Amino acid sequence: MHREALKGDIILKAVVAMAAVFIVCLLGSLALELFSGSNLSIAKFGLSFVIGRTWDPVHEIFGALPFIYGTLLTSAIALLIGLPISIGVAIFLTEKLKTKKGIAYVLGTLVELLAAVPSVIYGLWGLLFLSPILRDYVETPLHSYLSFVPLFSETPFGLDFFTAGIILAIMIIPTISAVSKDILNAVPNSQREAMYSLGATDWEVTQKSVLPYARSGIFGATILGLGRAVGETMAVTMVIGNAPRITADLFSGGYTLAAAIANEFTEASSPLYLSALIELGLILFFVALIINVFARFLLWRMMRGVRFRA
Amino acid sequence: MYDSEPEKDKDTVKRISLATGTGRRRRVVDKAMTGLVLLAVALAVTPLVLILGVVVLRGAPVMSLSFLTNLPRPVGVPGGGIANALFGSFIMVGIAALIAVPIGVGAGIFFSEWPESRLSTVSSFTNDVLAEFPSIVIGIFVYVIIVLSTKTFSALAGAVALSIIMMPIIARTTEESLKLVPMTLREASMALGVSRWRTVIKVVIGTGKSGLITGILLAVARAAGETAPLILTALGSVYFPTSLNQPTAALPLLIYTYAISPFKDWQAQAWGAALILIAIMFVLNLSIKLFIGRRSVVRAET
Amino acid sequence: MFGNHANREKMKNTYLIAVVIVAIVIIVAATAGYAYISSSTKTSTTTIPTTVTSTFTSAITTTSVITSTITPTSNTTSPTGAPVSVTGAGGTLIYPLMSAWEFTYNQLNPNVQVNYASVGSGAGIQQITAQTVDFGGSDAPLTAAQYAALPSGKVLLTIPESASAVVPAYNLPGISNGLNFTGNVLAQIFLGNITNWNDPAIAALNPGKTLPNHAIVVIHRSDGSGTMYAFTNYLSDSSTQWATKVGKGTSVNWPVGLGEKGNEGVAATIINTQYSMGPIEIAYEINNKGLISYGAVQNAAGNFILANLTNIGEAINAGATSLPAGNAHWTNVSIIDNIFNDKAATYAYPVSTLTYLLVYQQQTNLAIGTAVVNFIWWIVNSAQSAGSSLGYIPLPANIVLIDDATLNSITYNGVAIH
Repeated sequence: MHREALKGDIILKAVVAMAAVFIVCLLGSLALELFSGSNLSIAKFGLSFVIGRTWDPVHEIFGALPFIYGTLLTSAIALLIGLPISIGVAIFLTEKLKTKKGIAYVLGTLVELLAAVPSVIYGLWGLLFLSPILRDYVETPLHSYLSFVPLFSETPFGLDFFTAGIILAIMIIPTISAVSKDILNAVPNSQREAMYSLGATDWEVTQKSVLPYARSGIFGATILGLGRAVGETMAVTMVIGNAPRITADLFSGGYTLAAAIANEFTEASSPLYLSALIELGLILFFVALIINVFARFLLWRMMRGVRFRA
Repeated sequence: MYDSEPEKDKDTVKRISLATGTGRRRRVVDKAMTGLVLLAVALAVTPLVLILGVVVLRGAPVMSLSFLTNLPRPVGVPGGGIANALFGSFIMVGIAALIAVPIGVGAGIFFSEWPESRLSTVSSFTNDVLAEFPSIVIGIFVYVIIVLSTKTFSALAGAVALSIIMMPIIARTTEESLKLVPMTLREASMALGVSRWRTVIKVVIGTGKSGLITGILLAVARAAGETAPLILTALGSVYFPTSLNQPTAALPLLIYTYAISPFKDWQAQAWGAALILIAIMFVLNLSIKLFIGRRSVVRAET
Repeated sequence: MFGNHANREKMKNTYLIAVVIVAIVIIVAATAGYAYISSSTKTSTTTIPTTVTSTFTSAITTTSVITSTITPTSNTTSPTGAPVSVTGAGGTLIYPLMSAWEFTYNQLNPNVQVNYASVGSGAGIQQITAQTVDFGGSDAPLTAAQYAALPSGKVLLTIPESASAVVPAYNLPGISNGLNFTGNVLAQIFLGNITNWNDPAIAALNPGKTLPNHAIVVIHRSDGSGTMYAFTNYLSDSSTQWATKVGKGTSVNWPVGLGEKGNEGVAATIINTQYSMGPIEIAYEINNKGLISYGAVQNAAGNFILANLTNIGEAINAGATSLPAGNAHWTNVSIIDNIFNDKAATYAYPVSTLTYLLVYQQQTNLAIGTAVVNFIWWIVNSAQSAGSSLGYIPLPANIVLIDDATLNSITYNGVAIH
């Protein structure tokens, strides 16, 4: 039996390792395709592509900086707003509704449903409903009272970084909260009971024993949400205004890497144009790489010296 | 109790002293945080209600049996339906799941059970990067490697594109769910003489099942609603597919084409199709959760 | 720890029942689906009320603008009668009409299924170049670079199959259809040089109308589009500043304004944003009468023309007098350029454009080649008037003649198909 078990162990490890290798190979071939597709554009523009601010298909001058800026800005807004809300929802569903499992279940499923809404519907809803409401009830008041703040100084039309960030926040809430909810649920009760026995309040229990234990899991959930935010095309392109601008003004139209690729790829009329669009994809790959390196470093610092695998 | 180093004991002492300190400030903080959490829930539920409301209001008027069983009709001809789009989506998401679930779950298991391995770190990292790719780029990638070489658009290409989108989600959620299964369970199982592979399959996965399911459902929901990767792979069609190697319709493609058209009846059908899509995901979500068990996560009593 | 034995038994039973139910559902669904597929490929699956069918077919077989001597045939089948699937991909502008055409054609020829995917003009050209589709569709003719990228030895034919136009739409409280514009004024607005509605340049064109003192919110398309190709073509002709600074193309570097996806995106934004304006297709206006106001554009003869099917038709007629043969390069073909200075076309609408189908002259598959040729022949000769109710302009007789000649030149193994 010992030899059989060992064989089984080796087989399992081999099989799942193959799956892991596959993922590396997949990303590798994706990166390779992106590199080869951007050849023309890299040869012509070199580094000036990354810092260039002009995107002119007619005169074939391409620069990606406005798109990089837009991607980073909208993802940041999305995370800033979406992450606290998602964690709040997850905490509510697990800690506050401990006794009312039915309600928690229904509410939780409803929030997960948001993930099933097609991105083009998000875009339409954003364009037809969210954008006018935000423009009239949030942006215009902010602009009239606080226009000296550079963030709010441009006349708002509802199609801008701000609305795009909000819609992205809404889109990442289901992912982050659904995964966080499961993470929080899996935290052993012993942690909670220990704190309660010391006389801690609900919030203290959550803050000091549940959340730290769940840190890594919530981080994973955040990465998934961020993935959606950085790569989202349809919904963003319908509410961001699609204007390649670099400005701190939240109420200005903007553009993201993904939206630009989605809008122009099927109409690209020359090999250089196509190559430039593919290079945008390559840049997105690097942006994702850098974000992830940074995030992993953060996580490593968070988890240093804390071992909770009880 | 805690696996901690000597310095941490000072923290514990601080905590205990806080716990027995003046109650009012802590109670106020607790109430405030409860309020914030409730606010978060309200903020999350409001757009949900608004979106679902709009989809229902605009989609319900087109609902009928013929809407579900007819093929699409041109503008102005009544009776258009989404039958082939439903079928196409079902096929493509199904095949995508068949590809993505084994690979995703497998990779997730590897990340969680063998985290010390170099491959694990590298692969987990690339998995996160993969998750951040825009679906249009994945569509372009599959277009280049499959459509260009087979010289035809196909449901197969569409399914492959969707599976690439699903894989990182499933892998990550699997990894996180399995990581939270307490070490003691694994140790106990192996101490009883159960082999490692059996431990992983039966004990670890068995305990972390619900997290796994959530991840798979999230991935399926995402794949069912994606348009961009299908534009250059499945292309779309107004007929039923007769093979996996021809352009195939899909719900998100239909929604996209109709929603940005200038015709009111097509736009109404787009909302109707969106309603059907969400309804199917809801039923799927509910049924799988009900069948595969509620809260099968065992809270370890250590 | 996991509940007592009775509970476990109950769980197992529920589990079993659930699996059985799910399996049954899957089997039933699969059988139903299979039955549906096998029935739908054999016979026509439709149950259209006869009134609607006859509206379509009568519109198609009567009132054609042709004077060609070749009698239009509407139901030539493929050589063997076996089912044929034809795939096309191209611009979104023609999609509504194309979907009507392929539907009716399938009624008349049940064994031919034509499937046109609305993916964009550029994608249409990309796909026909890569030979992943049987025909392409584009609202703009191929550029020199695109002709150069075609597979060597193969000739791509350009076949105009319909026409459309771009109108300047706006949202101005109190002002309905008919605000006057010239090409130069439009160019200045889209360049960002004219920024206010009550600018003297606009006011001069519209005596008697009170224009609001408000900034113009410029909207344009964000996705590449043949509609924008036509619009920027017109702006380039109207203003040298536009021509040098921005130029014409399916995607351009818009100096000002916000971009929206698709005609619907632009239209929805205009509806939602007061004091906005943007270019949209005439099909949108015709199918949504009164929803958005649009303006008149001054033509070469000096008249301000509010676009409709008639004056667009006049433009196409006037501008299509010197089209090249199908196998030539159509890069410089532009109705807009041709009529820009044509004072004789009194009521022509200046921003009118053709849309094109792209087919290889040498076909590699007899069944598909025959189906493609017959389908396009039928579109060009018998089905032109079907588009009027949807907002498309029927081809004038001389273009039909050119197309017929082009179609007749399509060969398989060196032998003409038609």
